[in-house]
Amino acid sequence: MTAQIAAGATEESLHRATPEQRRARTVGILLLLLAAFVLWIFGLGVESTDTSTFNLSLPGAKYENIKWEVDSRMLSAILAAVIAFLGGLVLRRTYLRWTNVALAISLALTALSFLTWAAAGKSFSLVGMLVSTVVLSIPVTLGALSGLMCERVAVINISIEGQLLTSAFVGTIVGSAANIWIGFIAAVLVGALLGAVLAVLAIRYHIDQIIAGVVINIFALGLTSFLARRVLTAAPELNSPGRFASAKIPFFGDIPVIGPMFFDQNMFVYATFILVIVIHFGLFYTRWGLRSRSVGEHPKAADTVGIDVHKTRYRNVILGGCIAGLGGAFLTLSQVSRFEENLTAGIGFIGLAAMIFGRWMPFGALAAGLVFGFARALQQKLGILGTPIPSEFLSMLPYIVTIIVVAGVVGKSRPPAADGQPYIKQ
Amino acid sequence: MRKRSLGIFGVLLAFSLFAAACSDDGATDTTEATDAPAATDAPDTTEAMEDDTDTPDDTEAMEDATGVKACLATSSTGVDDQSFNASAWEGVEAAMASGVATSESIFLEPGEVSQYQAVIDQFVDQGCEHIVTVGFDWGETTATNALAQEGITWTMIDNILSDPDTFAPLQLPNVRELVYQTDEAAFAAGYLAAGMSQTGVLCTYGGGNFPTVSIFMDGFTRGAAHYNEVKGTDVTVLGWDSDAGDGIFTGSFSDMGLARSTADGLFQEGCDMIIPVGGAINLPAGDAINDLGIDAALIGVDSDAFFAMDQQYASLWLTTVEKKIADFVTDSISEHAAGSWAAGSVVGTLANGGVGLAPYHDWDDRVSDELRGEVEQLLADITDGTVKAAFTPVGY
Repeated sequence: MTAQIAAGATEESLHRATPEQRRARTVGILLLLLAAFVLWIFGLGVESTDTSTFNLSLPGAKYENIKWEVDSRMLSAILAAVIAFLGGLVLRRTYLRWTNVALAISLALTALSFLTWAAAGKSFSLVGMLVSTVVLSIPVTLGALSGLMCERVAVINISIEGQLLTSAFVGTIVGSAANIWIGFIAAVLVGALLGAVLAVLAIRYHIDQIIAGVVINIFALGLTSFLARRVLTAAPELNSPGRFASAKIPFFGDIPVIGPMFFDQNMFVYATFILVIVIHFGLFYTRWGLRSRSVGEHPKAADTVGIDVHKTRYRNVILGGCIAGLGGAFLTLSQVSRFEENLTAGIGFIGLAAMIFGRWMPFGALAAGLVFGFARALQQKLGILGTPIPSEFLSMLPYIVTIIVVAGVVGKSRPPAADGQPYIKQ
Repeated sequence: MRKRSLGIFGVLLAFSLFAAACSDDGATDTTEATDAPAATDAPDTTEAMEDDTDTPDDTEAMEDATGVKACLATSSTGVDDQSFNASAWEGVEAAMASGVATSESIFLEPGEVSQYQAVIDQFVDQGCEHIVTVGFDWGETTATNALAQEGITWTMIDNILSDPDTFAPLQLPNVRELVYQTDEAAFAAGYLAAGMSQTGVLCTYGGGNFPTVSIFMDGFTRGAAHYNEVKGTDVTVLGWDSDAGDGIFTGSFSDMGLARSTADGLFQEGCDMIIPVGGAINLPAGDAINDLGIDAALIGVDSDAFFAMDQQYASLWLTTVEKKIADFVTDSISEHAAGSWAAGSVVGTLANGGVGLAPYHDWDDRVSDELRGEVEQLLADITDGTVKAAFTPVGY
């Protein structure tokens, strides 16, 4: 009798609130709290007479001195109202599919309010921050794409960091000795070579892929540091490969805000965007993509229908290495024009994380890269604006934002089913 | 099959560990080095220094019985940092060339702070008589070891001794601290940059908020403020707030991409005179200038950047806030050899030539005679104390 009542009650409560509905309630309450926070801290935290000035054009742009001047308190109040409105909508729980979208929009609005607060009584280059966001996202996105190419065929690639570093190093030396284009090609080939090493260890010899990747990373850091100290010190002329300058696309490059962000960049930025589209199309609309995904999800079934599992894996892991090589070339042939020990400083691992919270999707990887790039750019602008927040804390900002976004907006993500498992043909 | 795979894997692992160990220049393989001192690292390092300088004849140095064995421990950035480590080693090399240091003098490069103690242990085992430690973060290790090794003479660069436990100021009879009133020269550089700027925006960033880094940024900022006071202008400095004691830091001395975008961000705000502080991370600012195609200048730190840094950036240096570490290191070693050595802190100032402004090199034509005169006058005024800025206290 009691058991029946208990069961009934559980059933009823289950009927009343599915996990999505419970989540929506939590998110809705959080958004209302966030709105109050925005209004109280960022809205009332500035003088009522303060204005924040956002520069929307870069120095020397065709349409110069486009500025957006705004009453700081008023803007934050409006943003708080919008966030509260979104929170209310989420709490009604009628459009459950849009919970995450509302959360993402609210976080972006909070960031804008935060900037308004930091820039109260001052001005700063908003478009500059957005340009930096795009540039800073490139190595992360390329790293994530590299990892994605491998993991879609069930080979875990921890060695992105090592591939980036080695190809940056080789690109520098070859670029200095020959010319920058040959350096670029060398960087991509070295990425492919390290990809091949990983592939052989993982596919041919069934070595634990995580350990193989870690070994490649240690090897890359040790070898490049050693050679940098011995070779580049003795022959500094090998450490100036020149640089791929930015190439503006006519007309589009002059559009305010969008122009400098997407159409007045160097070729690596364009290449990254094209790669994202190509890989997405390739994975989901071509025979190659279907085969790759089947090898990653269920290699035995793929083998049964005649797909060469090992060949597919080799090809994709090597291609992944090429993409990491492109990222390495970006670091020393475009961002800066010289190599420095350990100059990747962990960006490959951030790329790995970006792949995971981009849910193993090319556009997800790009979005994740942009979130990280935005957080870094935000950190830099806050430093320039001179907020009371200590610089040590600002350095943590990109990682904190990443964690919040991963935990809050992305939720659960699922790797390819066979990820990390070697395939042994029976 | 399985055996073979393990074999290949083992070889790869061994090779990568070998490479990693080599790159740290022996700090990781201290245990082996203690068994066979001088066999592992010393030849290696002597070889490295022969590349770029004229070392004395071995025989000459051997005959000189008064020479001390000087051993230099770099900061984690290593001896080839084109900055203060390189400068300190130059000082030891000069001592070797003049015979006051033996030709067996060596340097070691610990890759990270955790290896500092291992490097000192190795020096002690190898019978070093004079140990030079370079960099702010050597403070604690130097204090601990100087207390334990009273027979060794120590020269510590960029830090002042404090008790390892209580952090109270500490003076030891066997330690000399070399510290630099860098902000005196940086003050003049700030004044110069304010006079040179067309946009009226100057900027700076550092690798990390350490006293030896921020002193450049602070002096530079105060110098620009002084210019405003004298001229009634409104030049701003981005990246440092003297009151808050905080500014823009990349948080890494190796992440070049981050330094590049930091510089980009500053130039986007209209900055055209930048003083980046932190070894190799200074250079991405040069890439940013070249890439953005703006008319801006770099201001170097430590050694005259026109010569010390990569030649591809040479035309971008307006001047350098110099910190003449080499001379002071040589002095310390020569005085040790001559028996006139004294402990305590030695402060490098404009007055004693420990700090200074480098020539303008490629920018020489663009500095007006008037501004040039004002900067020289300012340097003289700081030297004789006529201009008293709120300089950061260093030394005791």
